[in-house]
Amino acid sequence: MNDNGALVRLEDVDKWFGDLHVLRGVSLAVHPGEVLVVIGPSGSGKSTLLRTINLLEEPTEGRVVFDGLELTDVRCDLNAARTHIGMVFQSFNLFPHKTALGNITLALRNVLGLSKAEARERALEQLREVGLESRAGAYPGQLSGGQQQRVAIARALAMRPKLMLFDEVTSALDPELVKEVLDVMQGLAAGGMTMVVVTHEMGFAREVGDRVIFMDHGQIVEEASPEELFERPRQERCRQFLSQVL
Amino acid sequence: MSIVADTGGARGAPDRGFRYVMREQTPLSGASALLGAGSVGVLLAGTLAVLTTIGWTPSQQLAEGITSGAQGAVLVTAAALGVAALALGAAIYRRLPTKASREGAIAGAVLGAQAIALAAFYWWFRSGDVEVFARNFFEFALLEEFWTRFIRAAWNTLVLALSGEAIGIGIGLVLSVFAISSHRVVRAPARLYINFFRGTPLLWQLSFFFFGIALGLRLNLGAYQVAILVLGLNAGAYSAEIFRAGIQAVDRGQFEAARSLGMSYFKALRLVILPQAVRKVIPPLTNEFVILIKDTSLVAFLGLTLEQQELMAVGRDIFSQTFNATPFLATAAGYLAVTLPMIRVVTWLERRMRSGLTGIGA
Amino acid sequence: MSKRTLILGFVVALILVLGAAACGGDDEEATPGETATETEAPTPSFSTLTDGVLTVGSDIPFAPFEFREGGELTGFDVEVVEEIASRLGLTTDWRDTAFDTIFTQLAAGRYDLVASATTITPEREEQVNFTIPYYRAQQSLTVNTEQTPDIQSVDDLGEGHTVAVQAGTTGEAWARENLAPNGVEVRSFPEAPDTYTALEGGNVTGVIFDEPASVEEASKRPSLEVVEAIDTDEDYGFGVDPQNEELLAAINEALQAMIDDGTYQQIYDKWFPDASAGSVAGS
Repeated sequence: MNDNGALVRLEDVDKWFGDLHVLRGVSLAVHPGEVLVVIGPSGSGKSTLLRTINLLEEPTEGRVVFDGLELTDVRCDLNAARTHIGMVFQSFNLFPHKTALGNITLALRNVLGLSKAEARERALEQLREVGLESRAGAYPGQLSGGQQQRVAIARALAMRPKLMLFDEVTSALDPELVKEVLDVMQGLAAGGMTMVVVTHEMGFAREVGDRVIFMDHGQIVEEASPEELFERPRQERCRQFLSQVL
Repeated sequence: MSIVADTGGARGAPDRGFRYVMREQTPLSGASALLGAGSVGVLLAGTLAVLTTIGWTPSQQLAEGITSGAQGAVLVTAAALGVAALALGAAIYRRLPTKASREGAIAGAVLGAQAIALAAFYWWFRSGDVEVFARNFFEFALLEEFWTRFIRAAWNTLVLALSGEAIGIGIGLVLSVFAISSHRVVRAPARLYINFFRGTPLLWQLSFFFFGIALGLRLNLGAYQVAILVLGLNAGAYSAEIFRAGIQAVDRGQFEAARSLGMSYFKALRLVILPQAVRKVIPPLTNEFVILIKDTSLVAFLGLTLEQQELMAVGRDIFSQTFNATPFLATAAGYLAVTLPMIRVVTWLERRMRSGLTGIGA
Repeated sequence: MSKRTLILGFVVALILVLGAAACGGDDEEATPGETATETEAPTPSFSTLTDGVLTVGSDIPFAPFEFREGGELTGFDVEVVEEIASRLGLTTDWRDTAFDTIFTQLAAGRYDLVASATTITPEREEQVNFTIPYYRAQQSLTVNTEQTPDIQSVDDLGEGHTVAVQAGTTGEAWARENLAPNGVEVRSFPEAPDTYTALEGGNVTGVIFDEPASVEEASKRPSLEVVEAIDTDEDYGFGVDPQNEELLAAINEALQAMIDDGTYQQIYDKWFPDASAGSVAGS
């Protein structure tokens, strides 16, 4: 926790991919317990923004501060910091050579150093919370998309992070499986988890989000509470985008 | 979307077994299939029977058997059956009602054609100077004297190949990690090593390391030790390339997920990437191993004692003593005996390791 | 109908092809040399693989019998063979090959002649013909005097010692028969020079090999010395294509003439000035 009590602070972050200017001087603060939703057209840089938070993408310029730690400082122990930030991906990225249980215990044992028994217990508990305890011994290949994503969420949660990042986690799912994942996320938010969610699910943004950010061409164009942004968008680009998706 | 399970067919899906195929045959398609199978069967079993009765050794007996009237009768019968199968199958093919029966007819026709081809080839072969050929290549009596040497040689070949491969895989894994590093100072030496050992002939490497280095530096190393070392160094280069390709074939998302959980670069490599990469590259690795088995024959150039001789050396040794080429048949059999089971073992290993990778998301 | 005709057509074609091959290719092992020349020229009375050329197989290098000096092929065998060839009105075509298959190749008709310091043995005589002897050979033991100064004879070799031999040679056979029973390890190398390299490096205790070659090698490698000559009652002969009796007769005639008129002894003295025991002349 540092100034203003912000858990995450991005300061003037610029990101170039070769000649492509993907993030243009973005500044952002995320507060504890807050659910921040990021929306915008494809190519707007919203995924890149999210991935900058745990430094999967390294900013070309600017600072990223998490819980008082400057992640962009080379002296920072990034691996340790990342154990407090959980991430869930659009393509699940479950480890195919491990069972659902194994996926979760892998980092618990090898990063956090938990014993076999402790890791197993915590992993099972986490699976129970997402409703998949009965599938603990299944391999990812034997699970449906929705189930895989829930396991992925459990895997991230098992590390007891302070912050959870969600990168379009329902975009790759068949429509009838989206709900089960969103329900889990809603439960998380209700429990007070700090979340940054990149998504196209506007219903979720409205109901669960505390704050919504609209991004376009690498910049935060509009930032407001869900009602304000969806009912009375101020920026033209934002209005256009919303008219297309709603 | 339903869950993908790999227990197929248990819930009322149609039976597709051998019985089903048999049931689906019409009298004619079944006849064609039987004739086809019969033609090949007669050819193989008949030849075996005739040659065994007349005798496999010495080579004159075998030659007599090959050129005998009985063998000729077998060939003619087989060819006749084959023609019948082929003609029948080809004639009725179009008019058969089901897919299974058509396949039966085709099977019969194809088997018949094979029997005809084999019989024709055999006929042509036995019209030549069979006695001389048999004396030089089929003198099995010779092998009776030497077969223990071949067993020992096969064992030597196996030891050389396995040891070399073990070292090679160890080196290859390490080297592959260097080869994908983002730091050029780490990549360059790895690439140098790989290019050197892949770019020079193995024989040269063996000669250089033994006659040049070992003897030049007065290191008291035996031929086998140097051979295993060099085979390992060589295999290491080829394996490194294979592993590198395997690592790069693993989805980048796997690496990202691992790191986002707080794993260091090397932990992610060891726990997530390499296990997947290794499973992916088993086919090319097997291929390279099979080549290595044959490469062991180059060890002879380093000077082998009688007990150390591997398959090729034994073959040549007996050959130069007896001037008979039959030992080379034994050498070939030896290599097959070493190579084929190895492949089966590896395939079994691969299937076991793949158990977690089937289905979606693999 | 097309599939059926295709299959039938393929089978018919196959049978035709095989039938043609069976009928056509039925002549006996056509020895490459036994063709036109016999009937045409009145002289010479023999034929060779290539008209006017004597094709010679040899394992090069093997000093002082055949080796290269300054890019030129030279040696005792080379000079004797060249002299024989010129007396027969032939030029020579020397082919380098591995020693342990050289007689099989000769028997298969790849060469007219094999000149490779080869010993006449009964087993080899079953496969090929030999000329009259042209050299009395002995085996020898070469040692590394820096490493093992006290080994002076084969009797000094026993358990824990190793000798290097060339694969397929009479030296190998002799060593296996006479030294192996005493516990000496016999290591076979495909290439002769490698045996001496191994000896220099201390990897083996001694080399069992033909005496003149060993003397030659030892003179070039300071730490090596030939300490004992082993009389194995061997003669060198040139191997001749077993199908070519006329060539054998012609070569023997020329060789005998060389011995009788002193040319042979001249060549011999040039190559072995200090060792008269090997000469077949004057015996």
